[in-house]
Amino acid sequence: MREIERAIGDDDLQAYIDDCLDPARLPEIEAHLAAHPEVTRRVDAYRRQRHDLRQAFAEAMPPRPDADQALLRRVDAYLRGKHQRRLLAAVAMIAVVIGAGLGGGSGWLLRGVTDLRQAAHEVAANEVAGLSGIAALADEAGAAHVVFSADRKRPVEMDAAHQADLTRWLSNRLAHPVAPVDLAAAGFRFMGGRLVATAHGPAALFMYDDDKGTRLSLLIRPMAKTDMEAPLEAVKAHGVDGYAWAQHGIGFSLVGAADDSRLQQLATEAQRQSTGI
Amino acid sequence: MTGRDMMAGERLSLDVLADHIPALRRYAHVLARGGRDADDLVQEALLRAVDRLQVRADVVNMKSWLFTIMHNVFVSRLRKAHVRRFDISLEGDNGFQPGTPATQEEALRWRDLMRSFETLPDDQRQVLLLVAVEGLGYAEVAAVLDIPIGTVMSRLSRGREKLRQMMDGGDRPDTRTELRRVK
Repeated sequence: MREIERAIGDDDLQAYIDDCLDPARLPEIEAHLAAHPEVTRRVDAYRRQRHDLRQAFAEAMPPRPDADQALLRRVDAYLRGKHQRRLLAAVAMIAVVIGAGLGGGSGWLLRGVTDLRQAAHEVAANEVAGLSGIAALADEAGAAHVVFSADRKRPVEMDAAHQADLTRWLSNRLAHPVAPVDLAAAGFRFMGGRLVATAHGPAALFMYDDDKGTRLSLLIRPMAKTDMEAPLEAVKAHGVDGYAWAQHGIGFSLVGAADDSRLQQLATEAQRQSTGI
Repeated sequence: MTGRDMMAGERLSLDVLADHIPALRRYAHVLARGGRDADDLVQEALLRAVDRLQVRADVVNMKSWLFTIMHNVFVSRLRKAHVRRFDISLEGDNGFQPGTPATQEEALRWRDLMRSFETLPDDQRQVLLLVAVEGLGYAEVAAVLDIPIGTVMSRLSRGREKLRQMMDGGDRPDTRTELRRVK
């Protein structure tokens, strides 16, 4: 008897309290408890504590069915988004296969797949991180800059020679008049632009470069609810530095590999000009 | 992965997940020490869970599996945040919304217990919640926290005893004489 008693340790008592004791040992434990009223008191207190803790949590954190539903909707939207991104990648892959089959142009098609994939990835990250306002805008500008400025052959969809068409097209798609700013006085030539997809709708991307080949991207899109007006601020996303601001519900973000004082000067100039947009 | 697996995963996940959200909220509350990051933790854990459910459909114990995911989210966030700790607030402004109490005395006792519980060390609170409130087995808790069962047992034992002593009077953070249990 003494041996068995010695074998009963704290782990056994805990298991007894939590009802996960091996049933074969139950008689031993109960005999032990009967012989040790102070242990029984402690075990009873723990049992009560277990019950009270559950009550205390129920009391402190009542059900939040509305918040639960909102969470599930977010999870559902995330799954749908994933689905679409996979579809997009599959379509792009088919395009490559067709391109290769035709025997030509598969080089830039492949490039296109990489871009699409990367762009889809960036959009997903932005979505999951739940960015909004200037932070989302800067994130999108950084992501677009990484993808498109690296493209030596086709960084823009329409070049500077077709500025009027480009401006008309982008203004139509954004349902708001947009135009490239002129940074020539600061040494940056206007290269052209493209339409980019963001988690917050279509955006215009204008690209600039200088004699050393440094490229800058200016992303413009209507803001969604937050930061409809925002002063010029330094931003950094996807390893790209830049500045972002918003006025009258239109957001701007100028990013690139130039040093900070240069970027700030360029952004200030862009902001001055964009006041008229 | 095939399209069929993906669809099976999606159908499975939303229904099943809904049942576990309240438990996830409780664990997030304990992990985030009642801070504002709790809701964020729940959301990120759910997103990671559906990601993984698309590639595996053999989850045996959904609840402890979800706790494991959330614990990992929490740990990786702590690492990223370096020294930044989650908000620590013991009372007020911590998301507590007391419901309608059964009796006022009980409600006060539970609130008192909750307050004492919040003062326990993080590792003891985590084990105590998972075992005593969520009803996980010791082996499951060991898996969630990625620690040996022996460590689970000793944290459980210490946490229970400390909480008992606090509630029996003495070093409670907030001593309300009318609630002190007379032995």
